[in-house]
Formats: sequence, C-alpha cells, structure tokens
Amino acid sequence: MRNLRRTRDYLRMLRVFHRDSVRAEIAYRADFLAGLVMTLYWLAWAILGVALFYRFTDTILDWTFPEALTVLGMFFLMNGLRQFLVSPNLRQMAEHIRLGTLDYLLLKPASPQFLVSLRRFNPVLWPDLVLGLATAVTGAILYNGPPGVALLLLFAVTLIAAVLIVYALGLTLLSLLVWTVQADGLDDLITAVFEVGRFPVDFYGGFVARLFTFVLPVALLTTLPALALLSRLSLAGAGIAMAVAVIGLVLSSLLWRIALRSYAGASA
Amino acid sequence: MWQTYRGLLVVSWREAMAFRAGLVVYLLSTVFPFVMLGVWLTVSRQTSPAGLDAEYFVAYYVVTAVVNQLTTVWVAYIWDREIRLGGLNARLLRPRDPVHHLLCQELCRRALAGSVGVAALVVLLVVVPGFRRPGSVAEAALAVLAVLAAFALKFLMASAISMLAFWLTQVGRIYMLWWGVGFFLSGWIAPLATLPEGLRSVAELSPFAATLATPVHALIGELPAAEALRLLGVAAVWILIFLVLYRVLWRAGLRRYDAVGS
Repeated sequence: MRNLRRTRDYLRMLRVFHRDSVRAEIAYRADFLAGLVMTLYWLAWAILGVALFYRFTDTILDWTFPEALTVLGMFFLMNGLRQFLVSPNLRQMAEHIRLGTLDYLLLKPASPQFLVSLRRFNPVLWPDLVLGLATAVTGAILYNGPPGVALLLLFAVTLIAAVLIVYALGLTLLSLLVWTVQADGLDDLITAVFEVGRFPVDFYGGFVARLFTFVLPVALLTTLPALALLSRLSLAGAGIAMAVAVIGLVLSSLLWRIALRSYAGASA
Repeated sequence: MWQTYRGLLVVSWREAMAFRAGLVVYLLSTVFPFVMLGVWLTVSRQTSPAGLDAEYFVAYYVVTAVVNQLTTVWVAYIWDREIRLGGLNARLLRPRDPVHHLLCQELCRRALAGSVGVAALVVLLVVVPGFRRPGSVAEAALAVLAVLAAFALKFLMASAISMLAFWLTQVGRIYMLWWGVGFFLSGWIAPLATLPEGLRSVAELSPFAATLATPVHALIGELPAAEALRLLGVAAVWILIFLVLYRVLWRAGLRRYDAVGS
C-alpha cells in the first residue's frame, strides 16, 4: 500500500517535471515548428544516405533496404531519446555541481537519483521520437506487411529494454559528472557512440560489431529492436536484451551511489 | 596590418590552448566518417561500388576526417550570437573590423585541432607504403592549396549566411539547412563518385565540393594537376562570390544595426 502511494507520488512528479519543461519551451512556439521541419529534413537526408549504399547492391549482408530503414528509424528514436532525456539532465547536473545547488537537492524528501536523472526534458525532440518510430514501422511493413500482436509485444519488450539502457547510460554519465564537472565532453562522447547505431551493427563486421554489442551496447538500442520488429529475433534475444538492461540499471545505480558518497558538497 | 595580425594571432593561440584539455574528447567524437567507412568496406567486399575499392575508401574517409578537422569553422555561431545578443557593440568600438579577430581565432583553433590529424596522416604515409598520396610535388602543393581554399570558402560561406542575423532570428537553422544539402554535395556522406551521374556534376560546380571533396581527392592522389587546377578555379570563383556577398551584407547590416541601436 505504501509502495503504491510512493510510486504514484513519483509518477505525479514526473508529470509535473515534464509539464514544467514544456512550459519553458512553449514560449518559443515557432521554434517548435521549425524543429519539426528540421527533423523531417534530416530524416529525409538520412534515408537518402542509406539509399546510396543500395544503389550498388540489393542486400548488404542479408539486410535489404526496408530492413536498414527500420534500423535508421530506431536510430532517430533512440538518438532523439538521448537528446530528450540525457543531454538536458546532464547540463542541469553540471549547473547543480558548479553552483552548489546539488546540496539543496540532496535535502529534498525524494530519491536524489530521481531528481537529477528525470528532472529536465527537451520537448522539442518529440517529433524525432514519433517520426523515428514511424520510420521504423514503415520499414517493417515494407519488409513483411503489418506486424501481428505477438510481434508487437516482442518489439515492446526490446523497446523497453532499450529505453532502460539509455537511462542507465545517462545515469552513468551523471555519476561521472560528479568527478569531471564538465558536461560538454561527456555529451560529445555519448553522441559519438550513438552515431554508430545509425546502421545495422553487422555492417561494421567482426571486432567493431562485437565491441558495440557487448561493450558499448549500441546494437541493443537500434539493431535489436529493429530485428524484433522485422520478426527476425527469437524470444531468447529479447530476454538477453532485458537482462542487459536490468544489469545496466543496477550497475549504474551503484555507480551513482558511489559518486554521491564521494561528493563532498559545495560548502565543505 | 601585419602588427595587428601578429597580436591577434598570439591572443587567439592562447585562447585555443585553453581548450586543449577538451581536445581529446573532441577528436574522439569525429566518428561519422569512420562509421561510413565501415559500411562501404562491407559493401565493397560484396561488389565494387562505382568502380571503387576498399583501399580507396580507407584513404578517402581517413583523409576526410583530417580535412574536416582542418576546415570546420564555428564562426557562424559566433557571428549569430554577437549580432543577436549585442556583443557586437563592444567589438565595433575597437578600431579594427571584428572579422580579423574571428579569422585569427578560427585559424588557431584549426591549427591546434588539425595538428593531431595531420600528424596521424604523416605517420600513416610513412608506415603504410601503399596508402594513397599525391603523385608529385606539384600535386602535393595543389592539395595544400585546396585545403586552404576549403577553409577560406567555409569561413566566407559561414560569414555571409550569418550576416542574415541582422534581419532574421533563425539564422542557425538556415545555416543547418544549407549544410544539409552540403553534407551530400561536399562528399561528407559518401565520395561524389557514388552519387548519380547528374548530381555529381552539380556537386562539382557547387561551392560544396570545394570544401571537402576537392582537397580530399587532391590529397589521396585522385586528381591530376590539370583537373585540380580546374576545380581550384571553381573554388576561387565561389570564394570571390561569397566574399562580395559577405561584405555587401555586412555593410547593409551595420546600417540597419545602427538604426536599431539609436
């Protein structure tokens, strides 16, 4: 009963935080529209970029154009999520540390992890999320018709796993920030790592493909959910994705606690 | 003038050096050319796209990364910020046109960021005998000229577009729209040879090819001297066009800026 109420409290806070972020942006309504146009523009160029490879061959390592399109859609979705969730909180956290306001945050009667990792959103990225998902689904429909319910469930599992992994990566960066203080470098690095997710991970071959599957799980963010949507993924594959997500979540929370313990406070 | 430039360059170099701690991270984040290289290598194992082989792609994208470091300019964001937020006021009080300081800053930043890439390229050329390179001293000289032209053209394009900030508020986005086209026509996404035939000739006459494809091809020995001279001629025309455009817009913009301020 108590747990249920706490969960409800946190969900309410989450809603307030998002509304707060939207209000900060709504003043620039024209900006939001221009953002939508820009997303469409970049998406079109990205699709043309993939099409360039397929001028010379029908399949690249058994990936046809619609299948690669599904991965590209997942890339827009996950890269959008990174900019929607990770980047704004990273910047906010850097402010907190520089100005010493993190100390106040730690006094609040809610989980500090929650307050730093889910406090800010960048609603300008909503078009990226929606258009990315739409592109992924379009690719899947072009490949083998409208997906069934079972398939969508499997896709949902991999999608949830991917979202959790993005969150865990974001939390890891927030923890590292306690030591490095500079947000820009960390943001540049994760941007670069995500860039690899633009294409199916097999495209890079051998060592690089393994690196981005097992060490830096970018493949789990874009290639794997795409495979689920294309009904090329087994149940076990989805299970492994979920397991990695849970392990990532636990490890990153642990790192966050260690970081917080080493944080001496601005006043000390 | 020389005295001024020496002073500005010393100051700018110190400013650039303050940034050196972030340099490693900044260089690591140049991932895109290598991502594209990875895919083209896979494709070239299956077929020979546009008659290009793996060796070409490796040379093309490695040199693309280096040329990009040497020629990427940030001056558009600085102009935009200064004009929109009024930082220009303080700059206008000084006796010299602010563009000289911005140019020096950009040169120093590029020299610092580019030095790592150039060093890596030199090591590659020495260690890997088969790595593509200019065929003669003359071609090498033209390649250096092409890199300088690319830098000049990018600086002037950014400056000319930024001048629109005197009239508009969304210049950052206009600049992005411009480069959306540019990413394709410059050869950043893929070598121009992989584009459809018609698009390729458009690209070569556009200002974009001169910002990347021309210097890269010159550096990997894919441009005979005559061809290099022709493409450098195209670059020179565009440099002139954007120089005039930038100066005209700057003068007109300043008149309007005075009107707003007074």
